[in-house]
Amino acid sequence: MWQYRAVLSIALVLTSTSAYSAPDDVIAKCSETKNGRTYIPKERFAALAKNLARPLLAKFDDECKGYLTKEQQRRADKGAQDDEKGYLQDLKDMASAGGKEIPAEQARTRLKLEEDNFDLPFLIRDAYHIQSLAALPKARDDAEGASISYTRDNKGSNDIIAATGAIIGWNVLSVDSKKTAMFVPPGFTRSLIAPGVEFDQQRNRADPTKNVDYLGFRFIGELEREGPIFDLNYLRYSGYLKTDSRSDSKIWGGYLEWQPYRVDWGIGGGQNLFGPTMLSFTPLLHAEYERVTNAGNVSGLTTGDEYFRAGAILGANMWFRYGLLRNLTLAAQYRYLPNLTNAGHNKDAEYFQATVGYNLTSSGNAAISVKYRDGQTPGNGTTVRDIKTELAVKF
Amino acid sequence: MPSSDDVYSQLKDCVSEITKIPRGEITLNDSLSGDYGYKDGPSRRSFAISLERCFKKHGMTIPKKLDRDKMEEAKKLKNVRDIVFTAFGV
Repeated sequence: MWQYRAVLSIALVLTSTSAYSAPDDVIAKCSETKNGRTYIPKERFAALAKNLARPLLAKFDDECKGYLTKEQQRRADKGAQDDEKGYLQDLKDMASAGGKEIPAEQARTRLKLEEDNFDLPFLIRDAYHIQSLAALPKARDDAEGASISYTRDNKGSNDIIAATGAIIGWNVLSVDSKKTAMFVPPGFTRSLIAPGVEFDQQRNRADPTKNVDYLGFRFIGELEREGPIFDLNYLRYSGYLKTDSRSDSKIWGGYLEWQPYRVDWGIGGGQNLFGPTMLSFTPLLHAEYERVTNAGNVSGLTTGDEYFRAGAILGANMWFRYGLLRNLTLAAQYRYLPNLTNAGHNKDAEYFQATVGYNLTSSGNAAISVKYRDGQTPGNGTTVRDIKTELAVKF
Repeated sequence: MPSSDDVYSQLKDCVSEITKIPRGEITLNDSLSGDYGYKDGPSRRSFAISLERCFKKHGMTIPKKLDRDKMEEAKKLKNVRDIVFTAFGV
């Protein structure tokens, strides 16, 4: 018997700013470092202000002078000419695909304008699980934010309040092999480590036995390597302590994970199926170990329990580049991790999630979604089978 | 040395080959994230490697590795074109 829950929740996604975003670059080139201190000297205030206000200066004024030299002006002009020629070729290609003229609406759709996102230097997400620490998705790319929700069950005269999510301190240690080899083994290009806190709190007024009280302290490390078969291989390693707000339960564990990228095979990037329809896959191999040193009040666990699971996780995303379905996104994830130890305990982990999302704004900062979940959720392993509707506001 | 027009033309062919999007639908302002689904840094780094492989396959080997860090920052195909132009020196 499965339950249907109608949940209206407010989801919040706060994302990071890329270390190489344009404002940071402008500040970096207008800064000086002396005695281990990096600062902007007073004589560069005017030049920095001009760079901040004028995109052309920000891009081509390499030494933060506040004006362009003849050579820089030449480069800027060349850039504009390249754009002009590129647009001309685009228009010709568009016309050859559709006839001698281009419908104005088609040109407007295909020649897109810049969209800006508001970003912050930390993340709040639905769970401590991110595709890569190398560069995290922007707000509009990921509708899975932390959520605080209130559910009113009229039939059962019940109120449920829940808070679910994770706070991730990413990029605490981000090492490029070009800068130092200390934390990057030979053959790997980059290495990163990020600690975080994950939480899932639920208070059920009518039936406190259904309360959820979960806290997780985690870290992830990641190594990157370019490979002969897949363009990129990511090896992740993680450790965690899962407990509760009173620290009654203690569950230790960790995992190893391998994720390949090869966008021309549709792995990590999209492939056009037909018309505007795009499809991408995210496959992972995953192995995890866990030991319960104190089961506390966690149902279904016994002190001394341990397991070693290994299996595959497959994600798929579908979206539409233009047309009526442009704001619609479809996503699914299936994971099956059979337990390879501890006979007599059914600790296999199987989970399926399908999400249909619709962006209410072109920037994707507001979206509604319907999510179906079935199985043991990643993270705390709670068994679920439900449908959630969600209004997500993302900044 | 190929001209910038030749390089951009080959880039569009390769983007079409990699993404399977018809060439006529590929434009400078294509969003790497929204249009091609390259939502994170690794996917854009993989895009750089796929482009290098495609250019080589079509006899226009890129003289040096595409700048992976700049690829990771790229938002639009226009940014990718600039990175490819830089690698070709055009």
